[in-house]
Amino acid sequence: MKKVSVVLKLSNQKKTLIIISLIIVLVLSIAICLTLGSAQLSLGQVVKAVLKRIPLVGERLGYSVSPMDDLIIHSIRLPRILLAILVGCALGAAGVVFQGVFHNPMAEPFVIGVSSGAALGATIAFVLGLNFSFFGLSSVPIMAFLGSMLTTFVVYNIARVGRKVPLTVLLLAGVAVGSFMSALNSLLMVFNREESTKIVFWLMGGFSARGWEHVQAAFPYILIGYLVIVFYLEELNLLSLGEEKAQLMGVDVEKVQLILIGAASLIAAAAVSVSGIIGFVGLIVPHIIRILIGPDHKFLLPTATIFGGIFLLWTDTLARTVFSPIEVPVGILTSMAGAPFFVYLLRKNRYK
Amino acid sequence: MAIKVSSLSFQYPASPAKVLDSLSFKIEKNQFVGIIGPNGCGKTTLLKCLTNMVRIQEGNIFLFDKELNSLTTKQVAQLVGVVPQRWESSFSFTAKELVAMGRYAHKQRFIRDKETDEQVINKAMKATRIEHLAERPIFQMSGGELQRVVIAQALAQTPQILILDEATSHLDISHQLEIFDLLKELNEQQELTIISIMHDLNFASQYCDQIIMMREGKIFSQGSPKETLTAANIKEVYGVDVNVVFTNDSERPLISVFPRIN
Repeated sequence: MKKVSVVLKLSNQKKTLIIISLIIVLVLSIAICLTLGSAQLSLGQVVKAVLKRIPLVGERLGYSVSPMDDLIIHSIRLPRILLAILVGCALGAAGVVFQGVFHNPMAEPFVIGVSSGAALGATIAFVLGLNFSFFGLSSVPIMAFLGSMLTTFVVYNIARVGRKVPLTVLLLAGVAVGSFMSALNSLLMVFNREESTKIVFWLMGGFSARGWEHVQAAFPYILIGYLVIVFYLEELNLLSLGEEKAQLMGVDVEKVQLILIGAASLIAAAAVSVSGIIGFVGLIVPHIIRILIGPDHKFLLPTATIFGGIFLLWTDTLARTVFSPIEVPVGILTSMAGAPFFVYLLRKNRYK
Repeated sequence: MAIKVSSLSFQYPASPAKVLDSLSFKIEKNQFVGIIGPNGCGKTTLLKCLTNMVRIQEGNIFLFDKELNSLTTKQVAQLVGVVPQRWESSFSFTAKELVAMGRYAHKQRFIRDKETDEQVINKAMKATRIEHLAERPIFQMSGGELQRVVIAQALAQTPQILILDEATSHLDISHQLEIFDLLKELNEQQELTIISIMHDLNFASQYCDQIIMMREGKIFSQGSPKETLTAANIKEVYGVDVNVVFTNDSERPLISVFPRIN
């Protein structure tokens, strides 16, 4: 049966234009989201306060910003907004890579254990009351990061046969290890009820009470992982045609697969460790963008990255403003939007 | 000499018997070669060995006098293009995007030869007559169109050898003819060596210079269609009775089958 799908045909110039427009939308979104919150600030106040903080430029500006405005914008809203964008970018990019490497539009970073490992790591940190810090970062994100990378490593090695990693086995190993981790997680919570509220809130994923230290901690890993991926975009295109095809066209499949899965897991792990588990962004963002600009990863990756940032920025802004003063963990909102979308994809793909 | 195989044996780790059992053969440059034989005789495994998709356990394979094991994945892709039996993608690339990916084997990082790439891509699309499909996403193509795109992609690798694994078995007879005519043209005009796994003995007879007939991991017979496609050989290899006749062309036999009931 012939596959029917909406595919817009866009020239490369138009695709570049879309990327530029998205960057503009992102910048505007940052400005607008800085004004939103319990304390009302005008766009003018926000712009003034941000400019004032720019090194060299700020000192020459002839106005002053109230310490209160400066505090709200620079210590509370800006780091949170940047973190939401960073995590959104990371999840969007990781999703693109996983779907490409697995040549399966249903794949996402969490399928190979990134999230379950992070959850277990965080839970252990809460339960043991670990209280160390490293580069200003507390024990929970560090343990989440370690848990995440370790789980990915275990899953990858379970699935590995010699130098080959059959993708179905990898996915199944991810499911199996993931359930095992979740079970351990629940067990730990049962025996440590006093910590369970904290754990549950962390698991739901969000950006409340996150600051500059989280941005600084996650950014280098995400940047490194991202640069590696950018280096292998051509190979990613070929891998998305299937391993056999990629090899016959000259790709050193096993090596490139390992590098790309490693880089994408690093990015996702860094994101999850500072945000908790925010589901479905890595799944739906690449999908929407692929429908919009096509499957060529040279355009798909940057577009999905920026769009992921915009998407999570706005969902988080909704999460912190709509039910104010109650803050909804943003992971709940993304899953509420993502799950129905996933079902829609399943239905749409059923007859293929 | 395009391909030289000597005493090649191969066995899958889990299987009790050898799939390929000390095969030796040679294929000269610029030949159109058909590999035929019943299901499970090792045709596809042989193809996998020739393209380094599996590691051979015994014997040697030489592509243009170079030992296959000593070549990198990229070097193999520069010499050999492969058209699989059936290829489906989860993502709807356009024809041009797919054909352009065929250039990967010749690319070095940070070094681009856009002009050559563009020329080769256009030539490949012209040869396969898919220029009008350049911007069309593959989800909107028929099976015959998609198969021509895949051939164009392999041609963009500018290989010396083109290997096809029953590349037309799911196409109707007019598309089959179209593809084999195209292959013959490439074989004659661009001096491409063609190796095709085939099920249809009449197509093999009409198009091939050489036929390699396999049975149970061994070569049963190798030679011209007239030499290999005899009623006795077909009876022996496939276990069926056929009628082999020669019409106007005495070099290319026609094989006809009859129902066995009645």
